[in-house]
Amino acid sequence: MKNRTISIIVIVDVVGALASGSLKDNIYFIDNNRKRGSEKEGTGELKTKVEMGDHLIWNILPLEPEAFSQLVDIVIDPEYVEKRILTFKDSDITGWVGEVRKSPDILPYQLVLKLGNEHQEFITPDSAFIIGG
Amino acid sequence: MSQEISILLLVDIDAAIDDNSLESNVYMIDNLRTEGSINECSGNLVTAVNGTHWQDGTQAGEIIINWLISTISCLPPALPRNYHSHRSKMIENNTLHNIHHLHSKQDIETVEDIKSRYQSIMEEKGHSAHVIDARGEATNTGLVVMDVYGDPYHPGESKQSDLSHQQPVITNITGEAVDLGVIFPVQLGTPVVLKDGWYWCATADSGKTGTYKYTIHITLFKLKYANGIASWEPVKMTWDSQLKVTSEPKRNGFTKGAMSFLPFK
Repeated sequence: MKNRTISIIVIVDVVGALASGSLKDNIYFIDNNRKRGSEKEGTGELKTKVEMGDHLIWNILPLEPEAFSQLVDIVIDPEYVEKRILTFKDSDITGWVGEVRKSPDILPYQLVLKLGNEHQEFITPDSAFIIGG
Repeated sequence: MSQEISILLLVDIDAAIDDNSLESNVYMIDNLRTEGSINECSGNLVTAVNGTHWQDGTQAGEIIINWLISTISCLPPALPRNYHSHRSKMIENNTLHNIHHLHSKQDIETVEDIKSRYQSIMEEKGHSAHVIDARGEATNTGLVVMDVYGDPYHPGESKQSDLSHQQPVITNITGEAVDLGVIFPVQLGTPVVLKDGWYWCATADSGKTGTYKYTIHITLFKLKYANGIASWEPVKMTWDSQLKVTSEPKRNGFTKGAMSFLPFK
């Protein structure tokens, strides 16, 4: 029996981030778990409700489809969430997934992104969370 | 100012189908947060359409509005457009390979072993998705129903949240803004991956200033299993949004003054 997978879409205003030099106010998180307790959907401060054994999968969606965006790392406490890179079968495209090893009260995490033609590196403000309970 | 406005709609399909409503299950976001759009990434987005006019009142810049739609639970948008089709073929090839080499397996000794192994191979390959057309008839798409990892989706074994949903589609844009000639929507073809070949686009008449409602007609797809057949059944919904149209005199973006030659020396 597989554990439940929670998809987290990260929408990035790439042009806004490049213009301001920051992801602040230029990033929005949405997951498919609002009905089971996730909070602050559609903001940069999403609180994703999890249980031990849940899987998380992060997908980046640039607001301007032609703009380059790539999730290169997730900074998260490995005691609670074990992250790994997933290569989609029959492709060379990778994504990031995490397995909840221990349900936290509240656990902040950060995403490291590369944006734009020059693959400029950005890190999200310390404001998206995993919550348990 | 000439503008190309992108409006993105993200739908939580499981929740929308459960609730039979898009209320609290659709998120709209555009690229004009800094230019006056409000309620970004919510169901109540008001998109700023900031037009300009010449001295005689005629529209000075072209305004294009594009709508894109996607779902939260799906294969990553970064995957090539033909990934689903390619992966389905690879799964089918793998199934044929396993059947072809079934007799060479060491643990196969009796006919019952063959039957059991064959059944297991057929279960592993998952289900090919059908779509229900307007007459209620199912047509096989040849595309395997997948989970968000790109593996065959197995109902009962996998959780519903693992399902990679069929992308929703916008089928029309109507309402006050269209009826009053504020926007002129059309559906166009495109090679951009996220748009999946088609997208809705509109030009706007920024001479008609004010706030106008419009309605987006959206078809979601609900996965149903009947008689061993997996089908995407269309579920039609609508969602209202707003455009706030303003217009100001055309000015020089560098000097902030009247239109003239740039102050180069």
